[in-house]
Amino acid sequence: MKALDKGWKVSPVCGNDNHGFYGISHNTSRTFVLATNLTKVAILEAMKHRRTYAALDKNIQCRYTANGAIMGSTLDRPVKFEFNISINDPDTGNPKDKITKIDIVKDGGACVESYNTPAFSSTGVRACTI
Amino acid sequence: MTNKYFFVRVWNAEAAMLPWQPDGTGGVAGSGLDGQIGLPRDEYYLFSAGFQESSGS
Repeated sequence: MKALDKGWKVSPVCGNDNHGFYGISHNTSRTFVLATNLTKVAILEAMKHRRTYAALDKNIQCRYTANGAIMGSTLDRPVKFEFNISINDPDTGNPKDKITKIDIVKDGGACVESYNTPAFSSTGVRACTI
Repeated sequence: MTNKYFFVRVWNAEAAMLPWQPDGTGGVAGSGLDGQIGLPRDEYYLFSAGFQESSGS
């Protein structure tokens, strides 16, 4: 967040500092990339345009748009922001993996909207304007 | 030139049950995430950024 507050256009990655097979198999840090297909060119293009997200979950699915622009995009100073957010975790049968809250955070880390599930369907899309 | 930005943060039950503490305890064990980006793990369970250009001065 400090980098974002300094004006850097960065997108998140998640790594892990493991020292053995246990850590590799049990610590599920993931960097997810929204690529148009599974080719090197497409994946690098997605990373270049910041279509990434980071999680300590192995298979959570997250994507959103703001005013129709996919996450990581740069917008032209709109007055209102309409978000479409889609979150899904195939393992929500596991109590630990149940999605409990979704926040929209802005400059300086201020939380501008917060949705507690199940008010926000974890497998659906939420539209909001701020 | 400065930027305004938004990102989406998602919490699941595991992250909510194990809040990160300033003494380094809590959080999701073994994640290494706090050490790598220097921020509390529970705040960064997952996020993705969006940006808005501002004119600056």
